[in-house]
Amino acid sequence: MLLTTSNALGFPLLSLIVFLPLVGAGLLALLPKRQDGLIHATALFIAGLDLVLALVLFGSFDRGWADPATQSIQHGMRLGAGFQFADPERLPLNWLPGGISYQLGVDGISVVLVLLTALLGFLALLFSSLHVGHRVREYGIWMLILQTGMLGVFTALDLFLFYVFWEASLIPMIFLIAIWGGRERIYATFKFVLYTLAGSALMLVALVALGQLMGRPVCGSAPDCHPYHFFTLLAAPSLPLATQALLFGAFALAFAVKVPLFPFHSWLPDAHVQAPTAVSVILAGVLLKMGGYGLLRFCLPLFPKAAVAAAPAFLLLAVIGIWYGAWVAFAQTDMKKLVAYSSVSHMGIVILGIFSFNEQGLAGGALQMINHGLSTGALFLLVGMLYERAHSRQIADFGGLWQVMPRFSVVFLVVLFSSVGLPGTNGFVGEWLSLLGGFRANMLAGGLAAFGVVLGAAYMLWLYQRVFFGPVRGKSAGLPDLTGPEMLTLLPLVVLIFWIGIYPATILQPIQAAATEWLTYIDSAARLAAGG
Amino acid sequence: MDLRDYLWLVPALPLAGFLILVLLWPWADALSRRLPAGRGLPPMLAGWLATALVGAAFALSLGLGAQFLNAAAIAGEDAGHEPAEGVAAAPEPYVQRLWTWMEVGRDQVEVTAARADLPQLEEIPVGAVGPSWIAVDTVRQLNPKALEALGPAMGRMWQPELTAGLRPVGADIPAGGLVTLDSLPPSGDVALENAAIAQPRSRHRFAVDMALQLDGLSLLMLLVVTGVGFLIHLYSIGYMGQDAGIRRYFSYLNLFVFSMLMLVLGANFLVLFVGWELVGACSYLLIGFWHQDPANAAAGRKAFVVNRIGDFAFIIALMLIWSVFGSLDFARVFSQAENLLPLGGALAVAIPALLLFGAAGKSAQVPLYVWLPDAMAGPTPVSALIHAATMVTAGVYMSARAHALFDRAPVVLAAVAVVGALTALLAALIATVQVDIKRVLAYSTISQLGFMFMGVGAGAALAGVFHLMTHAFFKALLFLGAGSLMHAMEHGFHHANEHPQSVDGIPAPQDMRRMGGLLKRAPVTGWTFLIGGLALAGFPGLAGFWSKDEIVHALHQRSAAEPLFLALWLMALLTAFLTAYYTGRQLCMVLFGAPRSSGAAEASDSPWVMTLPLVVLALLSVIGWLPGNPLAEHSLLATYVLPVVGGEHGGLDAAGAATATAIAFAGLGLAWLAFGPGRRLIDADRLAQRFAAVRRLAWNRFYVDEFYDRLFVAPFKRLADFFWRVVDVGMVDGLVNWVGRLTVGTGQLLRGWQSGQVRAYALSVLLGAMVLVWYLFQQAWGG
Repeated sequence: MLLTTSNALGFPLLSLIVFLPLVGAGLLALLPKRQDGLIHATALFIAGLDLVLALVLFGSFDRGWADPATQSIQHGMRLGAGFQFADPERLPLNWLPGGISYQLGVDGISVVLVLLTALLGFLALLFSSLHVGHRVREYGIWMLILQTGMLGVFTALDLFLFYVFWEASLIPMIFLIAIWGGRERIYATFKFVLYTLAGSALMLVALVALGQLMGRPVCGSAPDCHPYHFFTLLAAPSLPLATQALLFGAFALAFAVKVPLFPFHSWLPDAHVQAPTAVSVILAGVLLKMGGYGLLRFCLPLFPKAAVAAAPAFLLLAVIGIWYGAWVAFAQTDMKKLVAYSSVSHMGIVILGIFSFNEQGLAGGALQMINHGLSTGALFLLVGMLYERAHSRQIADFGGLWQVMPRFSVVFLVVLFSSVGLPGTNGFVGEWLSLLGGFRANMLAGGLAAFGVVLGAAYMLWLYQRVFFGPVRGKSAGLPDLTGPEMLTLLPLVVLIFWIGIYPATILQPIQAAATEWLTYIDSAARLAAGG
Repeated sequence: MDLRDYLWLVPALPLAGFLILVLLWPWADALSRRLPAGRGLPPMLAGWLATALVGAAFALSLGLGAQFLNAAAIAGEDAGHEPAEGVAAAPEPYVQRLWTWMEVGRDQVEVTAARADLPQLEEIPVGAVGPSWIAVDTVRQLNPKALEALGPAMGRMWQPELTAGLRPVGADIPAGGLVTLDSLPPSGDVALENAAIAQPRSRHRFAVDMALQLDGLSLLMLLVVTGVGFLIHLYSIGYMGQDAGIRRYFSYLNLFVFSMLMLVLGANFLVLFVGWELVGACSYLLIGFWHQDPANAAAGRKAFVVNRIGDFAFIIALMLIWSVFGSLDFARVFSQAENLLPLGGALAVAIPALLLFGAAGKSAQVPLYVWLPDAMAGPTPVSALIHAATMVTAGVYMSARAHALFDRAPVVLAAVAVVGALTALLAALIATVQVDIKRVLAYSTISQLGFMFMGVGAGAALAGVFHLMTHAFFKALLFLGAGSLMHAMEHGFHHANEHPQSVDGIPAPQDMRRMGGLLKRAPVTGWTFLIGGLALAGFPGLAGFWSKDEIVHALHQRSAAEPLFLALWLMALLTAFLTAYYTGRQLCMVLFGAPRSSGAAEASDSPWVMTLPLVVLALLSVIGWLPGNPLAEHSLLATYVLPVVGGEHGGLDAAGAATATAIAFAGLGLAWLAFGPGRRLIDADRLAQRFAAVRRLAWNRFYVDEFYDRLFVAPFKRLADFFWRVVDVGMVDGLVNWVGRLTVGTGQLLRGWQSGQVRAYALSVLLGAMVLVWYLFQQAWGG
């Protein structure tokens, strides 16, 4: 297998993007404690700069690789597994003893996730600058550290590095929920931590085993041997099925908790309800994607045969999740909890796509991750804005909101349409491709999953009717409409909802090119493992 | 100038209206307020702007139509058609590709297997670039005989792809999934399954364009949508002029016209689906336009969710279509339908059956019709535009458009006719007892849509489309007329300074029991309403007469050989009678006799913006059948739409026309005798008593809503609660908490370590992990 990395810029852009927030966090620590405005502004500036860099990265990402005419020869391979903006460019850096290396890189899938992370990180801080006034400096520091952790997860090429970032993103989360959270924040934090740690502890063990069993034999004890490097592992002969299954199980569990896949989802509603708004946005918008990304990036190519064997189970759980999440969402009385359960449903579609093992499913699943980040991120922002006004998220407390907050209602409606996958919005493109992929893999699973369109409409419109229509009642009365800065926070999300819905090529093109290439690899690897 | 280059402009104009009203208006409004003595933009301007843009779209459509006819004439001459008859050939469909909407995957022939006795196949490079079905095409060129053998096997050929689940990547495909020439038996009788020549497999390219298509059918729909749409916009200026939400109203209306145009112009199933869903969303917004009333909002939601149930089937149909054809383009799918769908095969039945279910949702057919009567909660022009003339006919349009797929499954076509007949009869029965002027029309619409389905199902899609067109004229007229009459009644009540209560939940101005004599009070509206009603009842010579009877005729023609169609024909006749009856009843109750309330007594006619559209539509209800004249062999519809929708050009015979006339007069006569002015020969009350049981059922709409509520809605809600409180909180979470408590309980033993602070936990976990990792490194390093 030919794997290459390149860095057309010759400049460590990725490291800059990943560590800029961390540097920013250090900077915040130096600022005087009481200067809330200054602290907010600095954090925003750092996140904004990071977003600009991510845009530069996305803009200079070479899509030409996907063009059959220009691909392959020039880079020695057909895109996909070729990572751009590798940093360091050629050889990984020795980082820790044991061959643990440092190298970052992005392919078509991770580059859009980096962009999503930078965008949501910025918007979350923008929202926070309007509404967070408690221990501001600490808050900003943790948010920025979290940002570095998440960006690292999406760019790390060494699995150990990946693990470090993975855990690094957990710690800020703990503090953010436990300090700035709601009334039952401690319980929620406990649950979140226990769940996630149970998953990642297993992953760590599996990771070490993977390096020893798979990576180490490739290059032995050579000084430039990096047994945990993704490329080393990809180049290794595949493991026997039983071993694959064990390791796959350990990794998949950690990722499934994060996604969250039914029945590992019960931390999510609590964490969401207790987390402050901006953290919910990050949690739903980015953190859940780490699970999907992990499955897509590592579980499928490294354990192809086990993944194929386990696919029916994943498809089943995905379909259950789609139905179950939607169904439970229907019964919710708290808006944030409703959105949380809708996440379970939407992420089920992502898993359906990923485990369909075809281009449409894989690309659709990856796109759906982005879409879910945008629409659910926006939903959490909206619910948060409402909460800041009325100090309630209970559906029963509201009614007739359209008459009081027309702008808010329109934006909510747009996001709602995206969430239920109305054509013309991003939700439709991702959902359609995922369903099509799922349908190709398994007609029954795809067909059952497609019923999600009915369920989604049912709970979302039911919510909308109760909160926005009817006579003005309860806490709705007299609420001020969206302010300028709030509109500004929501604007990028609304624009992207339509952009991706109408002209998805901008982000679908790199995603699908990478998905197609990875699929080729997984396909052949699975066959090799099958004994060809 | 080739106007077709500007085809995109037709939907773009109303879209621009929507965007201007939503995005620019508030800004411009605020700006104008800042001017000295500025009072903001006049709200009525929004209405005129929206109307003008739809009018422009109509003008452009007219231009496109003229060019279409012109091109057809030229093409006809070029093709050497007999010029004596002056018949032109329909031009080729024009497809305008705007941009690539979605594109996933590379073109690749993944598996190339071959019959060994076809040496030419070696010329197909394995892994060649090109969609998998290109291989099939190649085979056709290379060896036509091979394709013959392939034809019946195609259905089976696709089975692995469709049913094998994950097998494509799985283990049981030999030699890396590539069935090579070597792996097949060398010669002779290879089973057809093994002879699969190009088997599309895991690597497919899915691509779909934003593309518009102009042909006879879409042109017709284009003219109906923009034409009727324009008139209804104009009418709305009068009807909605005093409403506070006028800008919102017109922005929705423009968005609707845009969506409907996408639906009828789409060149592939997915663009059609865009329009299909967006019109549903607009319908949702417009039904709940006066959302302060929870009942309206609930009606909108019901419409959307019921529609989505149909859309669910539609989506599955689309996925199946793509699985079979590797494309969603109309041109590709319809031209390949005969090759790829064996007549009566499982897929050939499944695809149109699912499409039918989708159509039943959008076009309010049994069993999904329940949303449409409630949809009357929206403003009346909306009922005219969306829930009578355009959106609800989308199912008919789609089935006519996709007739190539329906033709592959005669059983499904029969089902279309049965669904149509049942719906038509059921809705007509319900309509006979309603007293809400809009509700009668709503059930009448459902019933007439059933007629259109009968036409499509009988293989006379053209008749169905013909009826779609005439129905758009006279039903829009009736709804607008009803709106105008309600307006007049409101005025009357206002004038008399009365505020009557609703009876049976029906607001006074739309209660037919309080009307009467309105023909005199509001003459323009009254007379046009009368014309519309007569057209609906099938009064000889009016638009509805021709189109409805072409459908009845088509059913009759098939009834000789097929007993099912005999039954359907009789049902259609009965429905036609009921239609004439309930229409006559409505006309009598509304227009004739003495006023039965101060509202009716003091009513006055509406302003010209409202009556002008009525007059135009009344004219169309009289002469609007000419393009589809069943008596002419080469009517416009027969020449240009028939090639698109396929099937027979029905026509009409003298006996059929006589029967239809007799039935129309019988129904109207009965109604006149029972409800007409003067001495009543039939006592309506005794009639009601005679049919008390049916009447009660019909009055309560056969309890279908209650039935659905008990069977689906209530259990759904109960289960939702159960899943949440019992399963999720109780079981899933309970288990987690139990594990958690167990952990904590164990931890009590190590209490010294437990500080109870999350920070400490995180820290210790991190430290622990690091120690472990270090240990392993040392191991690794050393060994």
